[in-house]
Amino acid sequence: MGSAPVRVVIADDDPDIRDLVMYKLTQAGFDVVAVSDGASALAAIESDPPRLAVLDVMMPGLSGVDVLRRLRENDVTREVRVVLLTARIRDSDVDAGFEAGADDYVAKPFSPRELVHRVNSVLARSG
Amino acid sequence: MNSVQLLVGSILSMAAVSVLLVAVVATSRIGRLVLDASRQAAAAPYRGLLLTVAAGDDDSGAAAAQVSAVSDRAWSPVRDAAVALLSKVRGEAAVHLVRLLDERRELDKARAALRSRSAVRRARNAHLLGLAGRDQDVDVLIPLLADRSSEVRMVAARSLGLVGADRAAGALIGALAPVRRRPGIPTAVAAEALLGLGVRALPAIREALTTGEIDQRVVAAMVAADGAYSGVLPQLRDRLVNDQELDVRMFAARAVGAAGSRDDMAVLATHTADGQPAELRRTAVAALGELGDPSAGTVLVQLLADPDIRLAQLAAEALARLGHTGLDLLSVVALAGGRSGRIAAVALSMARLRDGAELYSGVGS
Repeated sequence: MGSAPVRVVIADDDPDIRDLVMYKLTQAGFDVVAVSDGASALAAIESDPPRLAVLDVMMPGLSGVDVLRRLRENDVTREVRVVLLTARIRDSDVDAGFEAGADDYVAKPFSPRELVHRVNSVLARSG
Repeated sequence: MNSVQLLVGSILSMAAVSVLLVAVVATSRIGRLVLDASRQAAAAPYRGLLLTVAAGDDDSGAAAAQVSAVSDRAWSPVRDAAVALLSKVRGEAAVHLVRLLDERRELDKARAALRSRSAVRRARNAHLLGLAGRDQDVDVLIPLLADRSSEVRMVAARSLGLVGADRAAGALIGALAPVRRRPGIPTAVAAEALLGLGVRALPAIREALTTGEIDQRVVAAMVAADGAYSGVLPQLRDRLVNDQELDVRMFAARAVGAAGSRDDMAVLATHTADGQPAELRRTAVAALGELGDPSAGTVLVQLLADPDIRLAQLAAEALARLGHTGLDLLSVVALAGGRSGRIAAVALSMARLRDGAELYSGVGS
């Protein structure tokens, strides 16, 4: 018996990106839950904390960085690893993401293959 | 007909026209939704295969071959879905999607459509060629920089930035100038496209800084600042000191701060002096912080007492970026109190928040 697949929550309001990330991570062996906004992401993560979340920064309502801050404030979700996926790649935006507690940052347009490598790398670092 | 009847008639007529307008708008929107739903439904059976291609997982080309084999009728929505995905991925995933579109001769069709009478078609197809990123298409995109439609000119510029070929740089800078009474492309669009070219744009940027018109010098300095291009530092230093245009001098100061060395501290410090334009002084102060040379500390500390309070705040922020030398200076001023002390204390607090308390343990506390 192999170990259970690692659970990952992804949140992006763009259905193309959501489908693509879900497809790629599922192909890579992850157990993926996909949602389309920040509030749903927070609910999905808090109800059953995954090992990692891939969050779009620019989402309606709660942004990815807002979700990240709330995760870091909550004892139950503090240890969830977070990769931000976003078109906002100015240094100040990247700084804001890392200051909020992001583990990695992937710029759009993105390479799905690279995203999987980044996810694996973050998970490997977190033990 | 009396006046009351006329009034009632007018109100009824206006109400009827309003209802008609609402019905037309609603019908149009519903029609569009139905059409979108129908196109999505037509593309749905191929979604999985398209995702395989867009994920960069189609090394054998089997998925692309299946998608490419769809009927002409089904192809249109599949094509749109493929183009939508192409705008969101890069690397191998983009290569696979472009190969799929090329198999259906979409790139040939796009090149032909650049001569369409419809500006929307020209823009849409220029965008596709930009996404495809093929060097050969630079030569068909460059002429669109002089298109009669401003939208097409902007899309062409962005597409050239996406393709990223060095020979587009001169054309992009040239397109800032008006052609046949049409305005040139906006400076922000040109700058974004040139940044897409990276250091391949350096020869054209160098030339623009040296001999360009005002807009061209502004964009060249803007790009050099955002890209931190040290390869044009001699030209940037010259523009900072000698240009007649304030915007060029300000962007040149920013660029020198971003790309310069400690040798540039003196020239930036000179431009913080009283008597220089206020905006240039502020930019030069921020550039000193960006440069990060501790020897700028003496100049910046003096500016904490400048009558221009924004300049004083920028000087404090710049000091906070000079490492321990700047932080020590801020601490001394903070302890002395007064307006300068308050500004220094705020900058120290911000630095602690930004970079964490550990670096500043024992500093200014």
